[in-house]
Amino acid sequence: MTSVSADGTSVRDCMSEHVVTMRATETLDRAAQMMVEREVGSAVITRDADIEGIITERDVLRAVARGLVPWSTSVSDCMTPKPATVSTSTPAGTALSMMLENNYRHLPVVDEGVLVGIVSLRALAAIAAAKEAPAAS
Amino acid sequence: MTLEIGSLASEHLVTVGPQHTLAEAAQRMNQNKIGSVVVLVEAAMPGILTERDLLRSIAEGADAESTTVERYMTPIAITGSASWDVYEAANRMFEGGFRHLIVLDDQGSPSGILSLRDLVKALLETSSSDRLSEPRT
Repeated sequence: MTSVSADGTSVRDCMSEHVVTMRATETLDRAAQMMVEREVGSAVITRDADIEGIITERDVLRAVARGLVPWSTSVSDCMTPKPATVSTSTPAGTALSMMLENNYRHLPVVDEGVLVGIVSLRALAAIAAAKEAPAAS
Repeated sequence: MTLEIGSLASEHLVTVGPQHTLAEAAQRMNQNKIGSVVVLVEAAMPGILTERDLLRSIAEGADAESTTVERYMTPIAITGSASWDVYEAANRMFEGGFRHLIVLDDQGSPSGILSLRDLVKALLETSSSDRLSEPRT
């Protein structure tokens, strides 16, 4: 695809280093609280250094739609296991096309097996919009 | 070139009333694979309930089966005219920090909803088609 990758913008330039992490055994309402408190839309589920999954606002929505009780449902029952990841050097356009093709809104950023950040559709969209906006003339 | 948001917004408008429960709203969002519903309020501007609002309700310990939409919705949603240019809509979304824009028709009635995802896809398609039609210099 696209023009956003053409000028060398990479995930490094638009990711957030403030990743909210939690364990799979924590409850759904705790996940919601952490996302609200930290003003993020996802939390990465880790065990030791491994990424087990990701939980997003959309997963919370699905759980509510299924009638699950948030305080007795564990994150492991609602998370997406083994999420796709990118690295800091992945072109922004590649990350964006992964999101649009697969309906993801967040991708964990992993360098040499270590979780270093998260990149969101919003951050990539902001770059895309800025780059594509017609220049004032 | 300009691209009006009226042609991009989802025409399939999913609505609820303020007295529906959060669980019912979540089910409609989930069935339609969307992140927001328009809340139609009699004789007033429409409101909006998004998955972020649902997340907040779960974080606060609300019971989705008995809590009404009215308690967590944004009463007067951010709206845009169908004739708005895609960049204008993008700027409003990034400045306001919201992800959904209710699109109003000429009569001021909700005619569609524009998501950040719709917008990004349009921005990328616009830029690729511009690029193809540009003469080489």
